[in-house]
Amino acid sequence: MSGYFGYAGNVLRIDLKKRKTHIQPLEKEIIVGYLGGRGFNSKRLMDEIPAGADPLGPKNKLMFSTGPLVGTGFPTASRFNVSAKSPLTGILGDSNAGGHFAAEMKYAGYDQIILEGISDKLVYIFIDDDEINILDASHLSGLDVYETTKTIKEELGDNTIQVAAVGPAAENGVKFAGVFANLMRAAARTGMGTVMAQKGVKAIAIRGTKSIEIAHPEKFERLVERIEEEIYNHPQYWPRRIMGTTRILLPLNMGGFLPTRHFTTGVFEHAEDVSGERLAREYNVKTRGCFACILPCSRFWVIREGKNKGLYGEGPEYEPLSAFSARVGNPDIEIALIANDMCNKLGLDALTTAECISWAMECYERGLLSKEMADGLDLSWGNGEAILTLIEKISKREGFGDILADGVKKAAEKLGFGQEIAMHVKGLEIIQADPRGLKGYGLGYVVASRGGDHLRSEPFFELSDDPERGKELFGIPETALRLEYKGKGKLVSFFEDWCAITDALEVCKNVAENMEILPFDLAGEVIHAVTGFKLTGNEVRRIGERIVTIERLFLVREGIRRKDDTLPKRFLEEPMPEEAVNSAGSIFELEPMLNEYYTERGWDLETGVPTVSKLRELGLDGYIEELKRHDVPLKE
Amino acid sequence: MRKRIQTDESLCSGCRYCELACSYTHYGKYNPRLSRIRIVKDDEIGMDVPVVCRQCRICIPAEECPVDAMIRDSNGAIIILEEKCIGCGECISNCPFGSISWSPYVDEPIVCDLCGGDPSCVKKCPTKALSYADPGETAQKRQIKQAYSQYRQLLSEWGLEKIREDF
Repeated sequence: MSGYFGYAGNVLRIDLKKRKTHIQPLEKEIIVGYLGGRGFNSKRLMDEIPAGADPLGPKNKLMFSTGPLVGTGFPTASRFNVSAKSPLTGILGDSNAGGHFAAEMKYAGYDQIILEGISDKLVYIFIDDDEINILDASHLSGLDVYETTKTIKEELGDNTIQVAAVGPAAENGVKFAGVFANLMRAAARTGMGTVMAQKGVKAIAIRGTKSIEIAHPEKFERLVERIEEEIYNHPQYWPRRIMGTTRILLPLNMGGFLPTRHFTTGVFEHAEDVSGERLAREYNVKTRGCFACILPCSRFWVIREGKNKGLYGEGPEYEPLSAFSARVGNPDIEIALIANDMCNKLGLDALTTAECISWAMECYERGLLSKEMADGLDLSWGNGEAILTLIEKISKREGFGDILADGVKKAAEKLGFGQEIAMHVKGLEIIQADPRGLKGYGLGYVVASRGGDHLRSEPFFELSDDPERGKELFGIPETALRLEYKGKGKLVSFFEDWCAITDALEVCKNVAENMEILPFDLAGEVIHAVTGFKLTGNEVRRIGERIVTIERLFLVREGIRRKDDTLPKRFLEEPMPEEAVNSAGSIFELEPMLNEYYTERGWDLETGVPTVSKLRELGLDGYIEELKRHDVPLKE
Repeated sequence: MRKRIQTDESLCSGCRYCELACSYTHYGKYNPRLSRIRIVKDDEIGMDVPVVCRQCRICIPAEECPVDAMIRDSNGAIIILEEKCIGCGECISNCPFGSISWSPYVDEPIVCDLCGGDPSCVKKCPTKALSYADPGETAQKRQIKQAYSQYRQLLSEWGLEKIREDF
C-alpha cells in the first residue's frame, strides 16, 4: 500500500498529446485540506486550469477523483467525481456517479486520474494496476455507451474490468454529454463526457488488484456496525429500497412544486400514472446497488405487456422520470422509461435534455417556435414520439436538435426568443423541483458552484415542518418550513458544507446526508479510523467550507458576480398558480435570501466575492494575488 | 444435515459487500480479488449472481488434488493446506462451479472455509441473498412454496382465488 491508510496514495496523470503517463504521490497538503473526491478535483481545477481557458481546448483537464472511504467496507462508499471546466456553462464543471468504477480505481492504486491535452485520434485508456495502456478506439467510434462497454470488456477478456465511457452524443459535440460507468451510473451534469470525447478519449477501463488498508480496523468495525444499524432501522430504508429516489414524485406533486409543463404549474394531473409507486408495482423486477451499498435503490425494470413489451433497463432516478413525464407534460410512463434509457445509451444528461425539450415545447405552445423550425415536429405538451425523436436528434446534432445540443441558454440566445423562460442558472439547466415551493433548494440552485442544481446543498431539513427543531438546530424556526425564506441562507451554507464532505468522502448523499447518517462529528470519527488523521466535527465542516469557497474562487476568477446568482424571472415574479394548492401564491424572495447567505458565508454583499478575511481564515489567502490579477474586487 | 451457504440471485443486488467482508475477515484488508465469494455481474441484463463453494458431497478438486492438500473440516468446509499446496492450480480447473479462485496476495488458490462455521459474507449480506442453512430445510421450504403455487391455480379454477391470500 501507499504511505497513507485509506488512500491509494497516487495521482495518475496522462498526457494525451504526448502519450505519456506520470504517477505522482498524493500530497499530504491536499489530503488535509480537501479530503478527497470533489475536494481534490476542485482544488486542482483552481490551480491548474488558467482563467479564460477554452473548455474544449488543450488547457482544460478532465479529472476523476475518488475518496478515502471508497474500496473499504464503509457502506455506500462507491462514488467518484468527474470535473473539468464545463463546455456547457463555461464555469466549474463537475459530476458525480456511483457503481463499481471508483473502487476499482482505488484497487488499481489511484485516488485521482487527470487527463491532460488532446489526443490526435480516438483512444481508450486501459489502466491495469501500474500499467497504463493507451489503445486505439477507432473501432468504438459512434458506438453507444452499452456497446462500448461490452466491446471493451470482451476484447480485454475480463468481465471484472470496470469501464467509464462516453456515448455518441459526446463524440458529436453535444455540450451536455456525460461519462457513464457500469452502463447507467451517470456523471452526466455539466458536459464532462463532452470534454472527454474532445480529448479523444472514448473510455477508461480499469482493473485493480491491490488492497486498501485502514488505520484503526477495530474502531472502524465498531463504527461500521453502528452505521449499518442506523441505516437498516431508518424509516426511509424500505421506501428507498423499493422505489429509490422515484418515491418522491408523488410527495412533490402533493406539495404543489412538481415542475409540470415547464414550470407553468406545480401539479401534474397524471402524477399517479408516472409515479415511483406505479413503477414498483408494474415494472420493477429486481433491486440493484452500487459497490458496498447496503441500501440498494436502483431498479431493473421490464415492460411485460403492451406495445413496448420486452423492453428492459435500469433506473430511472426521480429526476429523469419526473423530467420526462411532468416537465414535458407526458402522461405515459413507458415513454419516460424509454427516454431515460436512450439518454443513458446515447450518453446524454437526461435532465438537461428534458429541459431543452420542455423549453422548446413551451415555446411551441406559445407560438414562438413554429413546426417548421422544429423540423416538422408537433411539440405539443406530452407528445411522446416527438420527445424520443428530439433526443435522437440532439444526440446527432441533427436539424433542430443541433440548436438544442448547446443547452437551453445558448438555444434561446441563438433563436432570439424564450430567454426569460430558459430554466437554467449560470447555464446549467435547473432540476426537477420548483424553487417557489422549496425556498432553500431554490437558494441552493442560485449559489451552486456548478449552476442550477440541488446536489450541492440538498437542504432537505426545510421539508421537516418542525419549527421547534429548526430553532434548536439553526436558531431560526423558519428553516424547517419550505415556503419561508428566513434562515435559508444559514441552512443552505450548512448543507453545502455537508454535501461537500459527502462528495469528498465519495459516499452516497442519499444515505449520508438525506438520511442524516453521517453528520460532521461522526464523519470525523470515520476519517480517523480509516486514515489515521484526527479531525473534530468542526474541522470536518471547515474542510467542506474550504471546498465550497475554492469553487467560488474558480467562479469569480471567471467573472461570476452577484448578478449571476439568480433564477429565471418566472420564479421571481410569477406566483405559483392556484391549482398548486399547497404552494399557491408563492414566489421566490431572492434578495433577502442571498444577503443572508453571503453574510453567513463571509462573502461581500455587493459583489458576491469571498472577503479577504474569509480567505485567510480558510487558508486560501495564497490565491489573493492571482485573483487581483484577474480584476476580482477583493474587500477585507 | 450440514449447513451450506445458499445463494438467491433474485435477491442479490450486486453490491459486493460480501466480497469485502470475506477479504477483510481473512486478510484484514479490503480487496475483492482476495474474496472467496464472487459476484458475477452483467449490468446490461441486471445480472448479479453470487458464486461460492457449495461444499459438494463429492469435491472433485479435493479428490483430484495431486498432493492431497485439500481436506474437509468438521463444518464440511474445504480447507486448502498451505503447507502442502504446491500452487499447481489443478483444483481451479476441476471445480465445475468456478468456486475456487486464485489469490494474487498469497499466490495460491483460495476457497470458502465457512469462516469456521459463521460465514461473514452471510452476516453482512444486506438483502439476505446469502443464507447459511441446511439444504434439507431449504428443500422443504421450496417444496411447500411450490406446492402452494401449484394448488393456487386449482383454487382459482374453482373461483376461490381470493381465499388465503397469506400464501
